[in-house]
Amino acid sequence: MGENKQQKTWGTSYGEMVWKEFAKSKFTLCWLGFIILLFLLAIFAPFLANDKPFVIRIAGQLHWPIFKALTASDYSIFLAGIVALVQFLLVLRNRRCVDPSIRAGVLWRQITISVFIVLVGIILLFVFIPRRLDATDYKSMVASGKATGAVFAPIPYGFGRTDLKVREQPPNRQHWLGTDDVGSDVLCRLIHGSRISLSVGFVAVGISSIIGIIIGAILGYSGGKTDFLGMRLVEIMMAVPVFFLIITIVAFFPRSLFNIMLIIGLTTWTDDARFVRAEFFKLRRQDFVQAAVSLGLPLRSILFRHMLPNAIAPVLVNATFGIAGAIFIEAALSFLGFGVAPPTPSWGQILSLGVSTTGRFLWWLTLFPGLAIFFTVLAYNLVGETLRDAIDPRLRESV
Amino acid sequence: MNGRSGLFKFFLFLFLGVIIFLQFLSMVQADRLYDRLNTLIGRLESHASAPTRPVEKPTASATPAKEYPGDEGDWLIRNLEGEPATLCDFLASSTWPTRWIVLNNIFEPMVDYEMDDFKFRGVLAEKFSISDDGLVIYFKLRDNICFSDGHPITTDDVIFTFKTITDPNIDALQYANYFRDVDHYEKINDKEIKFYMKRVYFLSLAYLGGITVYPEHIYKYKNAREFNERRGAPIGSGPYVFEKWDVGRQLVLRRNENYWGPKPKVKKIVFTFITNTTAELQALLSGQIDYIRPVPDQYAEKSSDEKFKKDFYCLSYWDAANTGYFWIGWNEARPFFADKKVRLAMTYLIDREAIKEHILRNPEAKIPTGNFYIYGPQNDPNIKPWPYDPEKAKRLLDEAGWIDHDGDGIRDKNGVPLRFKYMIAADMALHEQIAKLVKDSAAGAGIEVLLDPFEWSVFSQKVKDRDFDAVSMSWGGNIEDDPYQIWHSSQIENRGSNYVGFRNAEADALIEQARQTLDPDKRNALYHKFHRILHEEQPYTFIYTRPEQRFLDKRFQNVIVHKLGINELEWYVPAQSQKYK
Amino acid sequence: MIPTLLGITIVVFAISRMAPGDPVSLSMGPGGMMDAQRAADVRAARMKLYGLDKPVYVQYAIWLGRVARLDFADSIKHHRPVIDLIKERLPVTLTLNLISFVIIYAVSIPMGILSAVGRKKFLDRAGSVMLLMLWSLPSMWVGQMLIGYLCGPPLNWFPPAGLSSNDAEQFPFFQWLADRLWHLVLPVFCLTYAGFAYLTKQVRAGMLDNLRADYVRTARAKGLSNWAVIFHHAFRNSVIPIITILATLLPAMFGGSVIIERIFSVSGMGLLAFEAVTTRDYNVVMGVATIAGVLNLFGLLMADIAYAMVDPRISFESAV
Repeated sequence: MGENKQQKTWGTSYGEMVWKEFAKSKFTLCWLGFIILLFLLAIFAPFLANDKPFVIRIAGQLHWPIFKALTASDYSIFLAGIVALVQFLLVLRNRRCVDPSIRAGVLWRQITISVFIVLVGIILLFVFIPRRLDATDYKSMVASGKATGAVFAPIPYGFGRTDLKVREQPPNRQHWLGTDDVGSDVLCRLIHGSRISLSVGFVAVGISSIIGIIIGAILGYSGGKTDFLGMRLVEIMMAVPVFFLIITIVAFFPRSLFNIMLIIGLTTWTDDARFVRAEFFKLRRQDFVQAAVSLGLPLRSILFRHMLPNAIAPVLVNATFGIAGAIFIEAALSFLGFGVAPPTPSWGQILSLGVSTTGRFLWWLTLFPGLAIFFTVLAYNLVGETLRDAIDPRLRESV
Repeated sequence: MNGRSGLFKFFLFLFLGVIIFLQFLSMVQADRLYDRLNTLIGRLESHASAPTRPVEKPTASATPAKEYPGDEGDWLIRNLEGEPATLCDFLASSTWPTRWIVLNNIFEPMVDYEMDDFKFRGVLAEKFSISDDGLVIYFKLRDNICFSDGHPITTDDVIFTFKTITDPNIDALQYANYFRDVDHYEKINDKEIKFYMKRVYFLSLAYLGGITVYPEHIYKYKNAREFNERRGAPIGSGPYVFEKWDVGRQLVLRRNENYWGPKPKVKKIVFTFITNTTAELQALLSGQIDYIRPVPDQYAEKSSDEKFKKDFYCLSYWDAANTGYFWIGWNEARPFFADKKVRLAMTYLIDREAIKEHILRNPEAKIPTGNFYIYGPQNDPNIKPWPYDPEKAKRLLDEAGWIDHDGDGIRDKNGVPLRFKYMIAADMALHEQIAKLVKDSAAGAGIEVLLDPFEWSVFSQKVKDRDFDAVSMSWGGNIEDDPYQIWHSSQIENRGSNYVGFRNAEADALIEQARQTLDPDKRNALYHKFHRILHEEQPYTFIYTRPEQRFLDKRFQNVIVHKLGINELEWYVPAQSQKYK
Repeated sequence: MIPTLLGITIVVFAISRMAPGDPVSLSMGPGGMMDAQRAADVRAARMKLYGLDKPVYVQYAIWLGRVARLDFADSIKHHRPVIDLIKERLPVTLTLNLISFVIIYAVSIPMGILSAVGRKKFLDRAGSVMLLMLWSLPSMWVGQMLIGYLCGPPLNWFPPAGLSSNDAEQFPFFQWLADRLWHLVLPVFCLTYAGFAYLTKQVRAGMLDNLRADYVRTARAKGLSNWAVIFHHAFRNSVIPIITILATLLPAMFGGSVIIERIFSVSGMGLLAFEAVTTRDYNVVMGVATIAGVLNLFGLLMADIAYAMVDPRISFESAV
């Protein structure tokens, strides 16, 4: 395994080089921090904005409503967050303890195991955690004295709770960012909506990257007839109007978040495929590939263990822009009415409320979700920009 | 080396040239449409100016009573949020914009309802009657009535219209359905005609009398496709004639100077097609259009704005011919909704007053208790809606056996949790808001509601396939309605309109009997009984019914709200406030 | 090219037929005025009228045959020939998009060159961040904010909807053109701002590539002015990726943007196709997809030709 602590004799690995270049821009680091903040917001959403209290004493007995009401998706997100954190720590450990020459392989293995754990974990959680419903009005219980000692979340509203009397109110003391068309608190919906946006971004881009990589790799490596036919298919995919494809497919399946992610992933892989194909064309003639071929290694191994790590850079850069794009598409779909089923909060859906039915311009329903989308997309774009500049060898000054 | 920059310049000029060309093209396209219509109109004008018979001014005895008051002139610019696909009102492709444009403006029926009473009056018909056994319907057309080109209206035109509608190759199959009970007709002379029916049906007179008469000499066709695709200017007998149609922008009608009846004072009606409701309101405020149908929120806001009310009318009136109701249907094929107590509990759980006050923001809306027009004779005004009472709902659910046995917060019975999918049409704000409210209220009673939005085409399909647990929709209404299609148990199979599967033997019997009862008092008594059954059984939860709302520029006078609606034909603009020539 | 076109039509046909619902049931609506048996008969008869009762592949063959004769049939919803609908809407979309393209290119190219040439760090960074910010603005947000603030009273700077005023056709030509341009400002603005960032980046990257190349160094050493170096040498060689981008942006050009068209009530191709899909108006969907596909492929071909003309290293015979 080559684990030893003699890192002084190691050079800098490719990843370290890119990171150093990336970290030169303090500005971008701030935005990276913003993204991490968003992730934390998304992970801890049910604790930040919830109409149920953490703890409450009813008739002498202590109850823990928030914890009892956590759903399978909440737990899945916790799991993903924990695994991501562990993975991050492992990367740091790799830098200290693992020889750069094998670091890539170790990293791939770790990532594969993490993804596997997350996927299996999610499936198990959804199977075994039952659905619960708790619509008890804890606030009125406290107000009427039936319960005591309640500790509420910082934003004491649930995203699905309606209150027609305070419908469409601008920001005020009770609702810091105002209310929407049925009286739900906007700030709460924004926070919970970050889950939708972030997960759509990641999963959709994940799916599109995987498909794009596989197809691009096969086409780029094979060349000739396979490539010709394949490129025709890719061209067809590019020429078919994507939005209508999405709308038609959305009509089929029930409105679930996963379906939307799947659809966006299935319709945006062409860029990745073209990048990977171009890279593979270049790599195909290189010596190390010829060597692997002549050694008789299986195709799968050549493509994904040898060639792919070298071709991954443009895919990564495209991925960050892809996340921004996926968030845009999801917002546009929600805006047009094809997004997730209500009352699941989505930034695009809140945006669509700001202007549709009234002659009145409900600025708080337009400004805040618009800003949220804007800043998130900007963050990803900036990070992607800097990443691209960091990877581009021509811009590196130290070389 | 100069070729390269030359190439770039070339592309630049190419782009600019193409844009200018495209602009020109779209202008010319509009012109081409003009030319076509102008030539058509030119032909028709010449036809009109040389009538085959001298146009006689109708004598006092033949015309309906009064002339409209006020000064002549000015235009009414009205916005419709949809564009018609055709200008023939009985083709299947015609939708509501078509009817708003042509009905009573270009085409007229033989018989219509009065404005102030639930009785019929003759429009093109001078006399009409139905025999005592209900099987013979008789019409006598007025003397001295003619189409806008001067041709007199005769029973031949009525027969032609009837035959066209019932021609299976004409795309009017849905409308033809209203006449399947007609056995045959008998033309007595140029003005009198009798229709013989196969069976008694109280709406036969209304249906037959409501046929808008089309001129045979203009519309006659050799093959059906010619009629189905007719693009020419519509010619009718009404107070307005068609002038032009800029597809996508506006449609213009001008006054029929040869009109047989009292001519309206407003010289032109211009229909515009702005679909964006915000833009529509802006156009009204900036004076570009005069007459719009606001969305409820716009009305609620503007009707308390004094400055707005100085320049515009905020009309709110019950349009008896077009008032429908919004409902939530509970699919009785599902285990939970088969029980009347559960359906009633759902009704108790929905705070309809709050919906009326906060979502509709319309204090004049009402909560219906049945399917009939709330101010109509078929509706029993003594039946009051169930109140909002969540505690009672919970008790009813307990009684029905739906109790939370496993402590997960959701009621259940025999292992089936009370969790259902509530299907709504996507992209309809009102549906969504009410649905979110229902979900929240039901959660308080231990019922989990999952919202299931679908776009309209899929929604339509699923409703007909009964692939839903609960659904919200609205039905349009009529002054007098026959509940057969929606409430009779025979309409459950075969994708009929009884979507929720309402099956009640007593209701069936009442419906069948009422259909054949010609005496309105006896019939309405039967309908009152039917209304009570609906109220007890709650196959639907009726959410609201509301009056029509309009904004109208205040320069129009004689804007009267009648019992059954408003009549735009009687409006005028005083000479000093007229805006258009 | 033909096989690709056929492929597009097959894919679009398959998807549109697979989607649940059909135009007849849709236009018949949920009903309520007809009893079940009768409704079923009516529906069957109407399906027959439109030829929708035949098996799917037969319908496709029929459609293909008609298209070969350039007959795109009629729209089921509008009851007018599909060609007419497209002829009305395409110029609108093309106008909007072409103007946007010209503006984007006219602004981005100089900006890209400037940013590549002037390497003052801070200005460069600030500029690129500004561009990214522009790119990150969601168009529906911008559009609605603009209408909400600029189009009504009290400001009334721009019209809230449509492409021409109500009585525009009565204007003389230049007034008509001015009115048209006034209406176009906001939609074009919404379409252009996003394109700046992308294109400027590409131009900048291309210019950077070339500015480091040996031949540029040679040119400078020869004593050519900076201006000549940038324009006559470096820029010409950077034109290639710009043309490639043009080719990839072409599908959008003929497709129109549903969101912008909806917000500004402009009847363009985007709304046409969107409505056709949601009302299952098969003929229109196929017509739009085919014509857009043809125009796309044509545009791609033009781009390839232009590409080959500009870059002497590329010839038609050599394959990668």
